[in-house]
Amino acid sequence: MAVLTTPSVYVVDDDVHLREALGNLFESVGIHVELFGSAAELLARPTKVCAESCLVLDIRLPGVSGLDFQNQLARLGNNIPIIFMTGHGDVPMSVRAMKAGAIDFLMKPFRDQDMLDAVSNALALDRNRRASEDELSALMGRYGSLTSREREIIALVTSGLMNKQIAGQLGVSEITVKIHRGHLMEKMGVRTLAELVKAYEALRPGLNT
Amino acid sequence: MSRFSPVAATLIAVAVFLLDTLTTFDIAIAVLYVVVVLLSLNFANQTQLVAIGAGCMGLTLLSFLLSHGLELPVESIGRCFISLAATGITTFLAFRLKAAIGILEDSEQRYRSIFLATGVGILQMDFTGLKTAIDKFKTDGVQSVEDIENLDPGFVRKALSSIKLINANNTALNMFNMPDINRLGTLLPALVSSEVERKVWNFVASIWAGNHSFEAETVIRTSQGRQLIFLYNVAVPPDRPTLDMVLISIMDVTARREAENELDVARSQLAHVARIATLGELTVSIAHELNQPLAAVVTNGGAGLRWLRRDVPDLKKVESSIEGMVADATRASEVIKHLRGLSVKSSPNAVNVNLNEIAEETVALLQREIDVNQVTLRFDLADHLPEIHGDRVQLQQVILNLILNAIQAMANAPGRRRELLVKSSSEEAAVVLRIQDTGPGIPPEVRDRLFDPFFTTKPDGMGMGLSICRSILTAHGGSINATSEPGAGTTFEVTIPFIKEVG
Repeated sequence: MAVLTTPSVYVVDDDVHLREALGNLFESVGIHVELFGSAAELLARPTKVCAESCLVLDIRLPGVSGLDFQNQLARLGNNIPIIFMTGHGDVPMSVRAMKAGAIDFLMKPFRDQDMLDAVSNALALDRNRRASEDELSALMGRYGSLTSREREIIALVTSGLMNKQIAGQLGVSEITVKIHRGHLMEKMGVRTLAELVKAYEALRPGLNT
Repeated sequence: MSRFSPVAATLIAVAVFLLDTLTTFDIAIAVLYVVVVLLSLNFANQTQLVAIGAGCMGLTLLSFLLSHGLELPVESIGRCFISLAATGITTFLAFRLKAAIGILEDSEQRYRSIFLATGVGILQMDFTGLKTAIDKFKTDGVQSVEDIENLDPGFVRKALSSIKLINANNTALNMFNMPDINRLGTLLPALVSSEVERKVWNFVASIWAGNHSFEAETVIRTSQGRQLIFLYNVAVPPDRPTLDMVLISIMDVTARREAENELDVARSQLAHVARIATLGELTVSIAHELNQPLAAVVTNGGAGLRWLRRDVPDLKKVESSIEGMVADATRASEVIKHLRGLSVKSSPNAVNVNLNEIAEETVALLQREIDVNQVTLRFDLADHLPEIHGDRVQLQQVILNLILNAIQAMANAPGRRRELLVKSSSEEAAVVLRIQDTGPGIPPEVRDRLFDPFFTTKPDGMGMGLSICRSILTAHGGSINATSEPGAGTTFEVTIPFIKEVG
């Protein structure tokens, strides 16, 4: 499987002429672009995306509509930013798309500059998203290296308990708690309690406790 | 004659009586009473004839008695008997003759009143001159009427002035607004305007071919300048081969034709309104059809400028961008062209058209509707489909309506296969177009009313679509009908004859 590392735009529209026009536009400003006639074609694409990217999607696609595709991606856990292209009279659909997390929608015929602005916003957003996701996954990795005792202690420390209280709760000595605490701070890559609390808060939604 | 006949008859009767009574010739003078009876035919009716006959026979007997008294010589009795028999037989024959004359007179009177008072204008004409002229061409070796047209283009005018009007009924005089037959006869050739000379040529061809009847419709401009449409029939009695008596019966169909024209105008206006309404339903699809190429134009244009404004302009890319713009703009104008056809309000214009082409154009307009509703479209168009004579816009309207109905029927029934088949074929003398869907079908109680005006099953429907389809097809000499199996879909079948008969 090829791994793509340049910023990319994926265009899905059933009209080959508009698709190619968009391809031409993105190429002219040096953005890598891939064109697809339907959602299914995009899903069948074998390349793994490892750089910031965004989708430019026609809201009325034959087969799986743009909105359905948006939901499908969300269910798959794919958070790629989506810019919808809408036609005349598609306002209710556009509203639904925005509520479902689309970052922009452009009414056809749109100005080329508006499209480029929307795409560069989307790419910036994706870049940030990817950065924070990378950070989070690094944190998750660090958390994964903790022993079960250390995980117990990190939960108690970040809930605001003193070492003495923790030792009491766990039935161990205060020294032991201090040693574990030193280890876990080191493993989590933090130096202060405030940093630890912040990292743990970022992790919490993904933990099963 | 008849004024003097009673007097003459009476004088003769008196003379015969005196001679018969006072002279004694050996001849049957009383036989001369026959003259009295015959003269009476002129004035007496049947009863009076019998009375006169009986009177003459009475006088014969009276003379016999007066001149012979009671002697009865055999030869005199014989003479008297012969006289009585002659008078009696003549009276009887005169009586029969009178009856026959009466019937003839009644009949003549009846036909005269029919001729004069009937609602049909009748001209009795003498075409001898025309017939002679045509025969002369034939003997000169001219092969056909077309040849006459080439040889003598003014022949029609000459032909018109060579015909003579013998008689015309009152209806005909009123139709032409002429005071009397002479004036009508003089002005008749001038009433045939040059635009309708073609009809006269057709008529000449009919005579050339020896037909006994010719029927046509023509426009006549009266001397007051009013334009009238006459339907006329020229009848040549088979026993008058010289055409010295030709009957032309004329009906004024101006009012009828005007009403028909008004109906046509109303019908085409209604069809226009329905087209606009259908286009209204399709606004979103049509806007999309237009916005799609427009978006491509703008995008390609923007891209082209960017390629051009690079530090080193990429002219190849600029070129392909501009090519893209041209192609996209052309696509947009195609959509407009299709739409303009449907929205323009024009009177029906019949040309030779191929139904396959119209079907494809119409589907192009509906492509979005087909895609969005996830309908699978299948074309099964016959190769070398014969052309038909028809109005492109109206036929497009029919197909548009039928396909749109089919799509809507399928879209409103979730969980079914959605297949639309557009199939054309030529059958006997007609082109048949079938539009078949896999919708829920039409319930039997609806099917009978399908083509009724204002009948609709759609909540926002006008109920005119199919009714207008049917009137359009009727105007094309064709028909439309629907077959449907509830649960298995509906097929609309449009039949249009190859060449519409000239009305």
